[in-house]
Amino acid sequence: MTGNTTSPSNRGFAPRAPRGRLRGARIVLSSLWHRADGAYALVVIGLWLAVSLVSLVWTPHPLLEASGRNAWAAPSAAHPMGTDGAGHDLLSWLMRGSLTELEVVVLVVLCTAVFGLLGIWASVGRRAGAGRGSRAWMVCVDTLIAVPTVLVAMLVSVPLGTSIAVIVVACTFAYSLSIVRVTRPVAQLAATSQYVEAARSYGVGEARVFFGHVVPAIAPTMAVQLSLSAGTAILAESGLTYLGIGIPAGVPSWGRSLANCAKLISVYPLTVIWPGLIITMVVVALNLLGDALRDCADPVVNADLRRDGAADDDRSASDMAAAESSTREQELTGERMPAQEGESHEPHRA
Amino acid sequence: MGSVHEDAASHGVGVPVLEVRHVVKTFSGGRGVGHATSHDAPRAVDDVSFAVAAGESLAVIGESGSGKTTVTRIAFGLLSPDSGDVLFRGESVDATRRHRGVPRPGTLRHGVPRRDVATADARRELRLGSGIVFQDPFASLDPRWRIRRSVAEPLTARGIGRTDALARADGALRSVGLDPTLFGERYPQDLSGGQAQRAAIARALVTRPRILLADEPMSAIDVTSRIQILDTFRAIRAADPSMAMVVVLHDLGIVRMIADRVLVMHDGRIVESGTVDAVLTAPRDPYTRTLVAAATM
Amino acid sequence: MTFVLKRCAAFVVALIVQSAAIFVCLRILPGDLAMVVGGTSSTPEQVARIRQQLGLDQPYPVQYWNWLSGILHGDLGTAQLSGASVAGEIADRLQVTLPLALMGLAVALAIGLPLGVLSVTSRSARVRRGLQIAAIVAGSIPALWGGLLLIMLLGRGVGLLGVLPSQGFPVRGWHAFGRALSSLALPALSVGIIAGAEFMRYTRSALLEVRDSDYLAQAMACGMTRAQAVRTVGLRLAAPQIVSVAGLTFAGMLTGVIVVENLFALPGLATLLMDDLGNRDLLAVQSELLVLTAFFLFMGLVVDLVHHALDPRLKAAASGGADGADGVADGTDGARKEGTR
Repeated sequence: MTGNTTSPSNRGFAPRAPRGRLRGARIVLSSLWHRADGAYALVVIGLWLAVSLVSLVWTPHPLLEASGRNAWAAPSAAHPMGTDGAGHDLLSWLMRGSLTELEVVVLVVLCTAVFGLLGIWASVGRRAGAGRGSRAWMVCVDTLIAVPTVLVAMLVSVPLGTSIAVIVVACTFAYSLSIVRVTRPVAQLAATSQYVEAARSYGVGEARVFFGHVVPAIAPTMAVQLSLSAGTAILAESGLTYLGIGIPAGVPSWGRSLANCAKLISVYPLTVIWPGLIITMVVVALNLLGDALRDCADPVVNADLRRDGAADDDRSASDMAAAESSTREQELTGERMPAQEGESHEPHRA
Repeated sequence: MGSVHEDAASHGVGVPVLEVRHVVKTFSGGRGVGHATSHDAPRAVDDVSFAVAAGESLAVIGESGSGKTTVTRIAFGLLSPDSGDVLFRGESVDATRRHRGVPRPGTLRHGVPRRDVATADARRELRLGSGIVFQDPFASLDPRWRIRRSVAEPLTARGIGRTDALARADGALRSVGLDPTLFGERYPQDLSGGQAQRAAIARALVTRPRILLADEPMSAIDVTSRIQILDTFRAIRAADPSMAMVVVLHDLGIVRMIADRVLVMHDGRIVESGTVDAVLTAPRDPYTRTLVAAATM
Repeated sequence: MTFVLKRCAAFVVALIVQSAAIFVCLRILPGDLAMVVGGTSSTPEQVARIRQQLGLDQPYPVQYWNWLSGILHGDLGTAQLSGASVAGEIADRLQVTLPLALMGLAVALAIGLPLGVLSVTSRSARVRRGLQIAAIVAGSIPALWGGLLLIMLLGRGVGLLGVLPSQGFPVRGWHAFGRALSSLALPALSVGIIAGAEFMRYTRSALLEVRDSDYLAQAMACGMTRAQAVRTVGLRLAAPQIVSVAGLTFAGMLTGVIVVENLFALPGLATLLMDDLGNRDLLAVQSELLVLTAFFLFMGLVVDLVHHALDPRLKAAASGGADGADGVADGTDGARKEGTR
């Protein structure tokens, strides 16, 4: 019985060595790349990152170079996107602005992830996942989620002034509530699953159970929600900056450029095209990324994450079991998600 | 009809590995996670006592709702009884019970046994000294964890280093007939039911427990793979004769092949107990007789 | 019934917590509230007088209590600059913001519902895919840019087809009905199109969820075509979710229109808030924020209660002890869990 590798039950499997940790990430990326929407998203986001990095060291014109004579110039060879009301080169400002957007997005996503995880832990992490404490917490979340981001932003702009912190705080508040609400069903399913019961029976501690079993179960959903939040954060930034409570006046950002151009629309309508277009393209990319991740990032759904490239597995009862469990999970992480959650996509745009 | 009680003295040699004394459990219907099903009798477990000796294999039989799953979960520390006591190797695992037996080193404070340390120790000992195999391997193995990692989990939870734990996991996989190089890096979905359940058994064995609980280990497996599981259980008993086993079953046909003694439960009480031969060939209780008759049809 | 009580209790608690949060935020300032209100150029005596006038010299709990009890009596304070009552100003501004939000909601529903249904029932895969992409793009447009584009297209004096006013609101308000309506047209379109895209996605998801269900199969067995079945049965089943999304969208619009109000220079509620914020009339801001927040919490409460009432699965799940406010998931989750046991 021991070590019998030729028994009928073992037939069909080829030996496999342990894989590297980054292999999962590479598979997700390649799955994304093979989809039209995933490819678009990767290209646009890649460009955005590249431009941000480049802008750290170079822009076509120095940011502060301004000549009043050159204000509101139409696009030309020297200024491919024209200039704004103070004569700044729009292209340079947009390039540098992409770095600010990156800052905003990174901060919002990080804070949302942290507070989201805290919220989920509060609602399912403890042993009595379905107990009174977590129900009270969920009612809290459902209530608070009604408060729109803009109001929160206005509120915190009083002590914090006009700063990126206002955007981050307001967005984090709204999006972490939304994430908790959206991922809770999946988290609940994992926390009350038999593999968690089994782990506890072997003496695995609560922290290990949460981070080892529950978090991987919600990771795909969280990835989707976080990328959607990133898109909404950019939109929030543009709105809040226009209203004067977002990015401060001297700092370049896409919202700043849009706001500056908007103020004189009746005079020079066309300058407003570029900032808005760039924002739209990047937000579309982030939204598409979110949708594509839904299918690509979950090992239960994405078979490539489980297999080698070679399809040498025994197609038998094992595949039926796989199909069964993946439909179960897919129903939760697939298109049902947006339906049950009125706030998941764009909670209260500014 | 009163419950049949067992105790250590009736058959035991020395201290039983696991003992259950006058355990009672009631569920308030409809709530909670786990086995609180609506058709539980008002008392899911009604004053049950039994003991398991080292190296012995005990089968607990009954239909759904008989309390067999509940009482075994209580015995293995997954549920708390409303009243009664559970003793692992002679020591109570219930925090409210007075500690009995010889105080263990470090458990005396000013000459008086420290209740909290002693019973907390006992409870921990139960966790680490027992292994559980659940009914559905695809539910009890995390679908996002590779097999080897799942099998090693009880060890990593105790702080054993990753390489050691994985090596021991490989050994456990071999002992159930699964080649670690073939199966270690797979996910549960890629395995057949029989293979997955064997992996779950390996996980239960990896800490070299003193007692194993198998909760309907073959119900969710297709019939052709059940032989593998039975063979696996026989093999592990042969490899470690001092390990005890409690197997919860509803299929009498398997009992003979896997158990030494049998407990028959009905409506939360033990209605018959004895060796496999005694119970199956000459059942005394009318309920047992109907079960046996049905099984031989 | 317990759900209703719990939810109302949560509403009250949240309101109190929010009021405290607002109060606290408006006190953590670099410097004194009185100084901020008085402005940088005011003398210490003026500041002291302001402090006394506004009751800012009293201990915080007393201030808090006075503020709250004032609101309960309908006194929201007076605006610093104009001296008018805050409550009066809010009422004034509502005559712009409320119709705007309603019109925006109408646009969103008019776009979102039919297109959402179409994106599920259409025979052509290209149409479905195209609608999906259109929804994503429309939902990614910054409200500001959307409004600007509309102005450039349709705005009087600027745009290609100069048919609709792009700035301002008639001074006589709704007495000049036609002009008032046309002033709100472009703003309503701006918010409506973007919200409509979001709506379309939710309608689509809700319909997809019921599409493969037995209800539709039953309807089709009775002779309906798939499209008919989706439109009648499907919409009815998805109604609770759609209603709650509609309610929340409407609520969200009241501040979602803030950018649009600003852009189109409409004297609405949102601009009132921004103006007072800009003028550092913080006591007015305090009350306005509370009123708005209370409105949103109330909308959230109404939406949850309506959703709960409309969706029998939720009621069953709630009485079974599960988390009733959790939406559809819990109801069917419970069923699925039972099935796999």
